[in-house]
Amino acid sequence: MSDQAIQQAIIALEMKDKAQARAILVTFLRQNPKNTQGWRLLERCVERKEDIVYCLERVVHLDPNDQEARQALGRLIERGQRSVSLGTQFRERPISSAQSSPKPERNVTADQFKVPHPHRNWALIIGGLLVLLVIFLAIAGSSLAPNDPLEENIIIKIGDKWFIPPFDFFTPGFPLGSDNYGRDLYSRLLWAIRPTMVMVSIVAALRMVIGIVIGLLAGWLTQRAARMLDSVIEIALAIPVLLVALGAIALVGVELGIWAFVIGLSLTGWVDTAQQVREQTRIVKSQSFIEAAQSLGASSRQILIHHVLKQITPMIAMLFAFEISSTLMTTAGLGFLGYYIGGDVWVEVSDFVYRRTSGMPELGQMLATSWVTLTQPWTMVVVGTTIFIAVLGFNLLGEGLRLNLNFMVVRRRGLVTQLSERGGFWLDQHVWHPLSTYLDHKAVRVGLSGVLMLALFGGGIFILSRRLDLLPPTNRLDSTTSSTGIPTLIQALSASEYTESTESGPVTGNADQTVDYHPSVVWEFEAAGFDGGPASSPGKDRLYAVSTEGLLDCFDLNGKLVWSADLVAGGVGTPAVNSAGDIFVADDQSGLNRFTSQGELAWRFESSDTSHSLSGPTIGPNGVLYYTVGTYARGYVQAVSPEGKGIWITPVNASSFFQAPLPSPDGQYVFLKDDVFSARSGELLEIESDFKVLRYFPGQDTQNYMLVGNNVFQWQLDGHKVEILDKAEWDTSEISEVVAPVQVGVTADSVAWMVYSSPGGSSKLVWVSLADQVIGESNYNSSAGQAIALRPDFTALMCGGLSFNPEYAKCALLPTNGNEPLWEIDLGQSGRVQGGVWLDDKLYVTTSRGKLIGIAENGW
Amino acid sequence: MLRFIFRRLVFIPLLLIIVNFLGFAYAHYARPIRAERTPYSRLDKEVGPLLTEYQAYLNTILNLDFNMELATPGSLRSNTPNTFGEILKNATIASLGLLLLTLLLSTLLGFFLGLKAVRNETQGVARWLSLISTAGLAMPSFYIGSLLIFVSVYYVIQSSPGTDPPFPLDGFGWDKHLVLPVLALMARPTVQLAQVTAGLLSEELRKQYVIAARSLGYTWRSIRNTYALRNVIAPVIVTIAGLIRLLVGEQVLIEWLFRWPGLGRLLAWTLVPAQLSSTRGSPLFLNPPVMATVLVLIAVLFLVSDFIAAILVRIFDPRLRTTETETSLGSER
Repeated sequence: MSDQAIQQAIIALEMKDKAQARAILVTFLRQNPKNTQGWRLLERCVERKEDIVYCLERVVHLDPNDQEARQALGRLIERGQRSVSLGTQFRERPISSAQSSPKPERNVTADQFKVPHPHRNWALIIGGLLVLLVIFLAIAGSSLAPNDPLEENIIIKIGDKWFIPPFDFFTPGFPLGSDNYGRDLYSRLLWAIRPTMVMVSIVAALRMVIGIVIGLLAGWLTQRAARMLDSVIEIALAIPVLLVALGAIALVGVELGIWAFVIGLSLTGWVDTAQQVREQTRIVKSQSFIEAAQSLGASSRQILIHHVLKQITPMIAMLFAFEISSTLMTTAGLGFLGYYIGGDVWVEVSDFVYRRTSGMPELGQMLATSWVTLTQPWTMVVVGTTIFIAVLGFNLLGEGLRLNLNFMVVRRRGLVTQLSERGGFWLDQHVWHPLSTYLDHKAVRVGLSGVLMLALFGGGIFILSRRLDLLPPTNRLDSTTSSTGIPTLIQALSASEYTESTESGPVTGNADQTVDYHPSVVWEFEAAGFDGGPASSPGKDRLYAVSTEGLLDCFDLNGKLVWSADLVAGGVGTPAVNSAGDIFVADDQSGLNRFTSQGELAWRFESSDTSHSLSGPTIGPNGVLYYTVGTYARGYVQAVSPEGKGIWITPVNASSFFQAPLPSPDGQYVFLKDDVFSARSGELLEIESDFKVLRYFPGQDTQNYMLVGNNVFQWQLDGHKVEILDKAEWDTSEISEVVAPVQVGVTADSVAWMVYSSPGGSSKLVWVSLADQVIGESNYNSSAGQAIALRPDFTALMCGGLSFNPEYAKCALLPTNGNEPLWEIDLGQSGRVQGGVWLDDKLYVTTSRGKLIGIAENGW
Repeated sequence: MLRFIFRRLVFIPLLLIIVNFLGFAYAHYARPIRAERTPYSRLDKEVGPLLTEYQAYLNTILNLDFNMELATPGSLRSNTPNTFGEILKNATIASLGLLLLTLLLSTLLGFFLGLKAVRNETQGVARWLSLISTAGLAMPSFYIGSLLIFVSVYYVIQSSPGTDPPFPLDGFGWDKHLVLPVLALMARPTVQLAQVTAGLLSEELRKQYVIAARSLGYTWRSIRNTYALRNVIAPVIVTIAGLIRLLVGEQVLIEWLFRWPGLGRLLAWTLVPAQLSSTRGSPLFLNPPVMATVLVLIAVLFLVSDFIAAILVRIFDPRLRTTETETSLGSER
């Protein structure tokens, strides 16, 4: 039979009917690929140089001693200047010709194939190593992690020092530091790689399948259909993948877990693959063997599967690597914006305050939660670097694979390439060819079973992902909320907490009117240091400030020292002045002193149990004084009668007790953060509330209020239960972190105000009426800002420091709305502002470095 | 050429209307779905059917009645009244400024790098460019941004107290505020353009006419600048138009990172759900009018840049002009 075909071909050739001969030979050679003569004849039928070379190679490959073919091949190659597919020659040549071909001949060919600059495919090597590392970490990372990735550390002790999160890198036990909740970053990172990489691989695989199908069709189909697919590709290419993914995930919601991302990221993500496959398909389509197949009557489907797809298979690894890297990149962007796998793990920190929190760590999630304040970009840098390395690895791998595919580039044939070539050849012969013939015959059955397999596979992954997602989000947050706040603020608070009392002042220029302000420092007084703010006398003509060296100084408003009195120890906190003009001062030896307005000591009370005072005193409606005493570990509220007798002392439950207790206006309660004491007995009241209250406080309108999340509620006690009377709720989406207001209060007009501040960024003052209306929101570019005095026209005096430098003080008058202060004054390196009073168009502030400064709003 | 311009000009408004409607419809349907699933998020009012709502929206837009008050997140608020039109105007200006400046700088730098990386004698592209571009293409822009912030913070911590970071770390302003966002945005477009330019140019220099010109005694410099460059300018322009798309995507992230009050941030507000401690989420979340308008503005940006690029390409490359007329003639027949 073989002879018959050959004979026919020879006849056709002699009749100069090359096409006929070619058709006969192609069918013949498909069945007998090892027929040397067939290949020799085919060589004479084809015209394109590549095809001739291929036929000759076949001949040489089958019969290494065929000198004629060998020389012809050599000539062709020489002429072709390697513009022909050198790769094929390399692939075919060495397999069988090694032993049998004569030596000299081999040298000649070797010279002809001599490569000018063989160099290693470094991209492949480095990329491969990086990818191997990523895969290794994805598999083994969780067992390498030294710590539990979910374990939070509120505070740790190293040596004699206490540290609060976020810990710096190289803190013992935390090689890469920690995040804001004190979770070990290194362990989290090791855990995070697996879920992300699993998701990314699924997405990349799906993208590839879609991309290859669309690309094949777009490249293969003709005319209208192709143009339509082309424009689909164009459109998909035009829209940034990130936007599409954002839109899709916003719609389906992260509740779907991994699937939200699979959908969102593959919606248009396939387009790069499709483009490349389309180009490749078009190249293949234009080649003569496709023409041959068509002329033999093969259907489009057959050709696509047999020939085109086979030409594309070598690209798959490369495409996959690029897909993974681009998916990872988009995933990182999504994570940064707050979308990550299982992103719906919201834990209610307290009512209306949610914290997006851990399930298991994942790279996107780590990015999303890493961006807390500008002063701590470290977490983000670490996670970003991990992503960068992974993306770099896959990019390099893809690049290396591309170089390998590119036959134009002459390269050194390493072990890997040789092996992969042999593997590819083996696969070709034993897998693809039988498979495609089988597919041809049993198309329907194969298709159905493929669908079944896919469904099973998808279902399996779905169940697995569900199981991953179902890990219950542990609620470990109750105890951490208060301590995750920024520590420096707590101190600032102690001084400023009671500034509401200074909230009286003449109504001056409204924010809307243009008023020329010329703020200037009128006078300055220096002491050793101040722990609290100044206080003013009832007649508004005297200022009292207590310095840390233990002096109570009385000034008139022009800065003249009127009298000075000695304390037993350094003063603590802000002095309190009652309506009679007597001054109460806490000293550091847990004492409370009462001075007359002439500066004479009336009595001194010393709290029995402890050795330090922690805050200045406050005065209740019936003249009882309250202040906190204790150590840094344990605090007590001490109540003292106006005559200097201790009434009660009660340990504090709240975590922070460096602020003065606040007596309620009706004289029933004393508040300290979220503790409520009975004013009469000092008993710590157990109050039932539907909400997690961050702080109870009295309003200037003689009502009781509480801070719940970022909202202020008016309440009264009904037995043991809190009854909410009114609410001031507002949209807090801009307050993007778990930051509770550092200062909160309610004015005499029943308008709630809150101050947010951070050590590095800006400070914000918000006014919210009880009708849920945001009256004003002003920002002040200062760190650790605190409101000193609030004016009835909803402007406020605020002091703060420079970014990152609280030792540098500045004060400003903030408008109701806006970011530009009405006026601002720079106080230089005078230390943190501890408090102040606003009297008569002048502002008097004390600073931690011992300055008492008088500032006139319009004085020069 | 005129026919081409005309056809495009008809096409663009059509596309814009489609984008507008799709954006509106998407947000319209997505909003209640999301609201149902999010705790504490509540709809402000009952929404009517899509078409009535869309009509109402179109009315406001077509009457240029942008006075609709918007409950806006604080960072977008200004001292001027918070009307829709005002916010859109400010955001567009902020975004366009950032985009154009970045585009200009990265085009110049990328082109320059690409030219520098082309080798004359041993044809090809210099190694250092592929090193830079591999690294550059693997870096997400917000990562570069966070690196910049990290360096600034480190600098502030190291230097004497009282120093400010050399450039503001966030916020808006046409001054030093631009530096960090622009730097972070620039990296990817720059290396991409450099890579494309260098690749095309080195390919061009392999051609026969270059050898001929060289043997006639032209310097490499003149060959490159007078002849080769002219041949590659068209694909380079197409790449630059593509960079705009890349930049818009990245700008969403960068504006989010640096709190730049532009269109990207506005879009992020409409697509990113409630942040960490929020009660109801951003009031703009899936807000149909905002979504539709912002998408249209972005689409305008894409289409116009594409249009300009297409015209420029046809001016620089006569071959495209002829094929265009041929095909149009062919279709007539």
